[in-house]
Amino acid sequence: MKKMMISTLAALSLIAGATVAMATPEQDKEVWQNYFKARFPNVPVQDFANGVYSIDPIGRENWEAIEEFPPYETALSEGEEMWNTPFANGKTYQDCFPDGPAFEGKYPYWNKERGMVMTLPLEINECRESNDEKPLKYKKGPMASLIAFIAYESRGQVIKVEIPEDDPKAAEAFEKGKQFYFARRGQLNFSCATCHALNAGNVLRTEILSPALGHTTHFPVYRSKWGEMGTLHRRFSGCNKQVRAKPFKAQGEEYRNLEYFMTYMNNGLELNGPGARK
Amino acid sequence: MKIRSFSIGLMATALMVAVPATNAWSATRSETESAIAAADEARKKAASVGGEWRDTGKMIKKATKMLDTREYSKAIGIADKAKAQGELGYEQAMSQKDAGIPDYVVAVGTPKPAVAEMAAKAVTMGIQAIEVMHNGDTVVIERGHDEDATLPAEFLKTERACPPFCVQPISAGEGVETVGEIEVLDYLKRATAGEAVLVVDSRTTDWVLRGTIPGSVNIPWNQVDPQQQGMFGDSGDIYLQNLMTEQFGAVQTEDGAIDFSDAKTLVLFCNGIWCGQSSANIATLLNIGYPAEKLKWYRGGMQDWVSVGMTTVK
Repeated sequence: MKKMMISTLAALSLIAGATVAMATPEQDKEVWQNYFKARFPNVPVQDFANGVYSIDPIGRENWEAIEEFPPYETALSEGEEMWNTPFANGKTYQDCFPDGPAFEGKYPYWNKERGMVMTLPLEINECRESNDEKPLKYKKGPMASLIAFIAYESRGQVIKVEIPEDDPKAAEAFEKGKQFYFARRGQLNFSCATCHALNAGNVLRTEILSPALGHTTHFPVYRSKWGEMGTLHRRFSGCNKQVRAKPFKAQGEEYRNLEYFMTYMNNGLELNGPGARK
Repeated sequence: MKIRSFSIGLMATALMVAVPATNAWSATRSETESAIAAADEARKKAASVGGEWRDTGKMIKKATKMLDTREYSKAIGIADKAKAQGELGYEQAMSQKDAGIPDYVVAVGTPKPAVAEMAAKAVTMGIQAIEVMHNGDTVVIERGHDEDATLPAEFLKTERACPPFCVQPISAGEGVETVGEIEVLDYLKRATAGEAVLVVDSRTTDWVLRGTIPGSVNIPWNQVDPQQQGMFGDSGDIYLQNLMTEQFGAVQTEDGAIDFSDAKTLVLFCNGIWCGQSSANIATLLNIGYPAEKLKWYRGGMQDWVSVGMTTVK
């Protein structure tokens, strides 16, 4: 009897394995979003864009009070000034990004010619360098201010990341990002999902863990812990360090693929950056 | 995609490896240098597959500095630890190469195919089915949809270690009534009709996701007993206070005391007679003055509920 049960279980897990192996990104996204809807049935889907405050009523009250005088306002005005100030050669960011500044919704996207995921901060630096300006650091400072302004202008745009079917390398980048997300790493042997899917809503010391759904919508953020603005890749790096894994380079291939995967999984949510977080 | 399980042993080993390769008296500079070189090689190997740990590089730097102070045996200890981290990081990264969406997400997130309806059996003489509200939806509780139904997998197990899975006594506290399925159905009916009754699933969310009693509300036991979560003093009290006023209908008076006169009748349950979570919560609630006559304990819990094929919801 026991043997039979074990073999049935093995067969079941084989079937389960097979369905996931064949899953398309679209199916992955459905399963992922359904999981969070089932975990938090009283949360309207768009509210996941508010991170942990979608599920923490006490934290939410504090946060709403903070949002009355948002701590990211300084960054917004700095960013706006950067956007409007011409480079030494007289050109501006607008020349690089004619559809800006409300254009965050197009990122990240797959660039077929270059065979890589393109992100907003990466293109900002490419714009600067093509105008003989020094590139900005990716994690904080002026870069965070500039994209805070762009994010603010782009509020309400719906995330619609595409994985072009005419280039298998795009799907490969998505799969790499997915593997990164679900791989356990570091001395603590945690994956991103250990905290933000399996344990979302549980407490880590006194902090409630936020659900993964919605994680990319509101960056850059002003984090009280940092006392300043930081970008999505700065947050990735912090998460990796917390599980005692060596962080990867901001805007390196690993984090860009991760952003591609995570943002795709948030398809359908509205952008609401910049945010304020604990 | 099945993730090869990466053993808990890894963490244990990682935290303990500090066995010096050479004994304290005989370590020399060249031995130390080769220990450091071996550690760096292991670190690089882990990094080559994206598996380097946070502190490995720092440990190697620290050991290298100790060459100047001639603390050779101490340096070798640190280098060996760093080497073990490198090896474990490599092994970990390799074991996670095929990581994908975990089973617990797939199980909950995959849309369920519709099952053909079968005539339901009576719950008991005189009760065919009852309608309850669950998270805003109407759910019918009935019995028997499937002739070949057996217990769900999570309730098949009989070997469970005590602690924590100790067999519970018949009473959860003085004056607290122990109830069975028929009474629970009645309380669910009353709750749905808007009476001051709350049927509480005290289990943690991961259990509730696999199915719970329709009409129940999940309040994980560690929210009532916050010290179990490692929360002390005020931070835990705030959660309990919030539960009291937001969910249980108790009122905090001006002098800080709690007025239970309009508090709801709570019917608590967890996984069954081998689960002490709901009874622990009852003890805590009694302790802070919750009236015993307003506390009911469904001792049989989920194990009994599913054993008679009653409707569950996910």
